[in-house]
Amino acid sequence: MPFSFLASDPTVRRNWSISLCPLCYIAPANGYAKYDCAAGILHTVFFHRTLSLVRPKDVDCKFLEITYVQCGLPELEKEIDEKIEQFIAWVEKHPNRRSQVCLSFFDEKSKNPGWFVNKTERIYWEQWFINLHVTSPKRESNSSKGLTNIGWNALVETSSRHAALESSINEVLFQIINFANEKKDHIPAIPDRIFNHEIMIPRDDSSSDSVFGWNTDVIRRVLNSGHPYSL
Amino acid sequence: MAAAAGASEPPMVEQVITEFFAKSLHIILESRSPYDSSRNFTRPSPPSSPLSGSQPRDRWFNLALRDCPAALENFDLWRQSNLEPLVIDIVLLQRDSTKTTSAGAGRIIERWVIKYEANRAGNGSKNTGKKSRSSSAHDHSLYRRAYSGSTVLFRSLYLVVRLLPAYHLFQELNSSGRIRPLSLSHKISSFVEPFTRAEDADMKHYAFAPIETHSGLLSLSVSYVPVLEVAAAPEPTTPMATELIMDYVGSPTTDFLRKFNSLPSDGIAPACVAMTRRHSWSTEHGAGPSASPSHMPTNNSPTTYPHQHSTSSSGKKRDTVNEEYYPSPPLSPSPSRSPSSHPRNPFFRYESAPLSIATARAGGGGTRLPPSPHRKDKQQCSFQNENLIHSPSDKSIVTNDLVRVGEVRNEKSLQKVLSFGKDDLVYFPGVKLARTSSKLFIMDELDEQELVFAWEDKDAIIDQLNRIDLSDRENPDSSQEAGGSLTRSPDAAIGILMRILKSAPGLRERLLTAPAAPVPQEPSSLQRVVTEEHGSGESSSAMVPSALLRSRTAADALEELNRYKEIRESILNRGKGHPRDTKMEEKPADGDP
Repeated sequence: MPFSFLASDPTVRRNWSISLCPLCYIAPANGYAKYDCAAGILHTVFFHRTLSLVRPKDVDCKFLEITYVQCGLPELEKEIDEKIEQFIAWVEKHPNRRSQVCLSFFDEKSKNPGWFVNKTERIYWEQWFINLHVTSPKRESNSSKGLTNIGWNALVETSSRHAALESSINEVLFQIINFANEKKDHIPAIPDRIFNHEIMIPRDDSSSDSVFGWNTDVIRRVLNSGHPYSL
Repeated sequence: MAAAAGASEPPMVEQVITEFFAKSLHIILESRSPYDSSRNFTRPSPPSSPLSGSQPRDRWFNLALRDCPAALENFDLWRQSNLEPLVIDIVLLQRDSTKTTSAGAGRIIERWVIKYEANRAGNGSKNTGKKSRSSSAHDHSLYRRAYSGSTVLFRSLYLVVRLLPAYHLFQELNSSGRIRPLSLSHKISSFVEPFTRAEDADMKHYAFAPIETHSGLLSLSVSYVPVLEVAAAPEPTTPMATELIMDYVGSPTTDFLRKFNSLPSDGIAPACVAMTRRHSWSTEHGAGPSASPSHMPTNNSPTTYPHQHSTSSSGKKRDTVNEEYYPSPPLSPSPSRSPSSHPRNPFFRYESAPLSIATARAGGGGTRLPPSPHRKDKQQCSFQNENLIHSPSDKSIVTNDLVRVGEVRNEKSLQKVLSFGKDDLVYFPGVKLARTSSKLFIMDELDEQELVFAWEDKDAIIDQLNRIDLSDRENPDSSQEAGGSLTRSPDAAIGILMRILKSAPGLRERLLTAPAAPVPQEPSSLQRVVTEEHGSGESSSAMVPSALLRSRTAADALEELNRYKEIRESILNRGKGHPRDTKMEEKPADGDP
């Protein structure tokens, strides 16, 4: 087979736990922090898996001192941006909850082609699970200190958190680089367009736990495809 | 070894190997070579897809990069080495203000090693029995694996070069046009010069997953300094070279400024010209060039405007090239004297002028200085020019250089000078400073417009007031005539006053006169009027030092006008009290214009 279905390969299905700490009480740029993190990760994965001709575009994070790279494909960028916006909206609606973004690449094959039925099945050849935990910083409760002390402590805490976030994002990006380069044999032949993909983010209308609600769709799809799949 | 390895590889794979080296070099130098960086080269972006406008080399590994001449040139040299290792050292060069950069002064902050290792016998020798049929397919498969693997690797390389610490330095050096004491250079060789133990201890290493080829292995690794401790010295601002811009609003071609262009440029420091101001102070006081206001003279004694240097230490060093390495251009340092490093441009527009207007105040009262232009973006001005002093009302910005001085003798006068009111204008003779920085230029434009409007109102008054003195000196008769108006009607007095105002010398003409010692002169008619009015027979009060006449502001002129009105009223009142005089004044009034 030219490729192998590696959804069950644990080396690909790595989970990265990143704690995003929005500076909601110090700086109004917390939206940038979330956006930077999510965009940096997603775009990096796509950049490694968009093997058609690209003209990379450097993007300097607004909040973090990190430069990530986009593929320079407007449609893809628009799609990713929309997903990120939806994800951030969900995170802000459900603060302090763990969330997961799944980025899947697949091939589509027609299943049992017939005269009247043209069913296609998706064969996922790679999936990236990105676990994110957006937390809110704890507020200073020591009321005995003066305002200046509170402000100073908050500032110090903010800056340290900022540095930690930057460091963790940097580490995650290197992890993506490592994984993207370790396993390459399963990647289909280089196409002249973007690989089929989908980005799944938590939704509010999912049953019970909205964080993992989308998993049911994935499972259903996998079962229909008939391929072994283990979460 | 390399040649032999190259020969054992299929041609397709060999081409992949060659292009692998080229692409690696391109990606690395594109983000490490400030001079030749393609970030500075704007390539027209393709309209809709990356396919359009791409060059043949972009198609390799499907990664379209911007042009990087350094990479192309260096690779041509390397190509002759026949697949020897490619070692790219990124060197951080630090130069001081006294000497140029030398080859040994740099510190290697990154070392990229790209090499092809042959002697891997297993890849291409499988299934020797069926080699004839499947060898081509196998070769093709190997080629595809090597190519797709390299494609992914270069995506990673492109990202890694931007995640490493040197990239931020590169961005800093490349993006701003400021001259910095640091520069990045690169050195390409075909052998790995081992690091010293200390250097190696500081380095971190990262290796990409190697790419298997038919008979070898392509590897790419980097050793880098994880923390770049760059000196955090405040970077001196490098003002842009002054240049003449003739087609701006209020340019010398307009009538408004033409008369100022005709005046000599020697003169008074401009208000918001950072570099000239800084330099003037530092030069004058023998201090090192500095933008710190602390270098300003603390005493308010009059200082003459110093000549500016025409030195440009930064300019001299600007074009120094480090030829030891493949040059990235010398971002030569500019010491803190950057403002002073620019030669004095004769075309300065002085924003304010310590012009003195003939004051009618008794006792030769304080120094009258012309008002400074009202600045809209005074914040920028003050930011750029630390020598600026905000007036207490913060409505205008003046500088100590305004005190062109022999005239200001005491602090009180200076205080008064510096407290300019809103909408006051000051104008120095001289020509226009076209540009020292973008901000300054904007201010100039704004001020031009302001001046256009304001001067029309006040310039005439100030000129005429000044002409009073000159005409008095030149034509004592007129002053006599003016003085005779006292005995005439109030209308006649007003008419004479207007005539005096119209014939008064201009402020700029006043500035032309060298600061001479106060010369006792005949009191002008105006002054005579004042002395008569106030009943003061003191000649000293009427003796207005010529130096004081130099500084006049429109506000002062208006004040004087008001004073004249008061005089007129007092004359009128007196006239009522002396009907006989009134009758006499009335007669000539008819004939007066």
